[in-house]
Amino acid sequence: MNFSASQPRRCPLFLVLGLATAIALSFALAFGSVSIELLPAISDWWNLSEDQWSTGTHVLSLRLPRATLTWFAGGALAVSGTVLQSVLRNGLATPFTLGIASAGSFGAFLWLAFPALGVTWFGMPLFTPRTGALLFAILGLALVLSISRRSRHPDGLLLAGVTLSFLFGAAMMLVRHLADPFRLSSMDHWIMGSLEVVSFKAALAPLPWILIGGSLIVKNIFAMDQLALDEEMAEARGVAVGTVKKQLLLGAGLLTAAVVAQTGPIGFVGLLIPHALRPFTGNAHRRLLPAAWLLGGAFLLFADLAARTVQLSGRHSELPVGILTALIGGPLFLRLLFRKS
Amino acid sequence: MALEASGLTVGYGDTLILRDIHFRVEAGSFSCLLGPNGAGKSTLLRALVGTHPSQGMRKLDGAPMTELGPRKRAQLLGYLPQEIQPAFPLTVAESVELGARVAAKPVSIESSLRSVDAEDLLHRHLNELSGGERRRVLLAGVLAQQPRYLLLDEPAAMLDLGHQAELFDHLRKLSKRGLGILCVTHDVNLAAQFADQLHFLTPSAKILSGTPTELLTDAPLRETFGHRFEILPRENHVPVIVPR
Repeated sequence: MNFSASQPRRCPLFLVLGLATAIALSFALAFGSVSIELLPAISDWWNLSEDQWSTGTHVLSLRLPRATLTWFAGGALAVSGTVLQSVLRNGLATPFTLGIASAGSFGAFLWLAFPALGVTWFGMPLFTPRTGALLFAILGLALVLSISRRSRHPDGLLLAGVTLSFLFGAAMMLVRHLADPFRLSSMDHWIMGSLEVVSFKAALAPLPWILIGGSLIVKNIFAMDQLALDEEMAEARGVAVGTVKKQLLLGAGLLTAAVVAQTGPIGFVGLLIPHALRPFTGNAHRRLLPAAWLLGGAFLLFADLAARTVQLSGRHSELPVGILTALIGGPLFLRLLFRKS
Repeated sequence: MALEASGLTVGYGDTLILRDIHFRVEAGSFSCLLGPNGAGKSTLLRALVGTHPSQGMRKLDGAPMTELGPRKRAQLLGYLPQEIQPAFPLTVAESVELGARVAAKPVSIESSLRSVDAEDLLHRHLNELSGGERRRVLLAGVLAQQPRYLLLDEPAAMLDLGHQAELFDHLRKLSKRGLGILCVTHDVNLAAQFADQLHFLTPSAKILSGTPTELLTDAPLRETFGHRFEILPRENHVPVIVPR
């Protein structure tokens, strides 16, 4: 098809986003409480055995898993938010709108408050707060999907999601109320979102879920464009609207569940990124979604870098990244809103 | 070659809206469907397209529609609903491209827009357009599908008089090129002026079909709209209807 005359050039945007990702990744590896020289550290990490590593290389080996998880989390949350805004036809939808994050946080709270719930196998814990979060996030997703089966109205699903959020939020407060006071700080730490990981195993834990969810989204990427115009027209144009919406909800839900289970709730990435990108990418999801992944990943890498390096009241302590994304994302979103209006 | 429906029965929940409807839109003909508010015109269109569940047989060029794949069906049958609310401010080019994606053969967005006199709107956003401009752009999107049959639900709503005449003239020309067009409208005179065939959907869900000259008579008009109208004859033209 010849659409060349009517399509503005989009390539520079992806070049800019690619550069932003490379810069964010380099900064995330090089800077923190200790700054390192990146290229020699990478060279040593690649070529030398661990006992020959310099301090810089040891620092790099700790930062690499964290940067990997951060990039996955930012990308997945931004894509999940973009998909949910299109499926629910609502610009205020976020990865947390459907109550999946609250359900996951409730699961994590349960295990944090009552570690006796953790079943062990030869002394190894089978259930940790992270597996608890994943279990309940998927349970929340199943609840949302069963609601979507009964209601074809997008607002019905949205309201059900908000209600689930409140319900799980109240359940979390109940668990917090019943928990031993000395466990409260770990629960508070969870709810503020954190990207602390020390191994690639933990950093790559969300990957299988992201791949399953992502493939469901990619499968329906063109149908999503038709849905954004009008559901009835999409159906007349051969889109199986009910099936496509369920698959997209499942895909976005799995992305959210995978990230929340590993990092806790990190707000504003899924809300801000799609709105910031639409003026540049247009509404075609084959451009919007890859751009959302890149910008979401870069945004969270920069936010995490700031959270690790900022000094509050003279103290050099790490700020929970969820607080920072909200503090940066909130004003940025308001600026976008006023610019649009 | 026709879009046919036989024994079509449609309802909402337990409420039956249309029962045992027999309907035919010939390829190369321009038909208009008229009737009072709430008679079920839009529901009939949806049932024909398949976006509203129905019982009975629907055929496209002799093939049962249930046997056609969804993409093939969309390539044969274009549909423009009465109301469209995009989730996000799509550009004109984006909305027309969505129709072009369905087409069996490549089609340019510009030519689709040109066919409805809207090529100057190419880089605008749908939400910036007037109601009439928006309807023309959405019609261009459906035409970009290059369908053999077109089902349009009030495409002339919100168009000024000049664009109404232009649109109906354009639809008539398209039908002369082989398209079968069924268009829901409330404007009896506009429909009678341009359409080959009229269909009146009466409040008792009966369909009265005929040429404009056959249907623009006292009995069908009264049965359909429940009022008496003055029928003003014109030499070599269809009569004009005015309320009494």
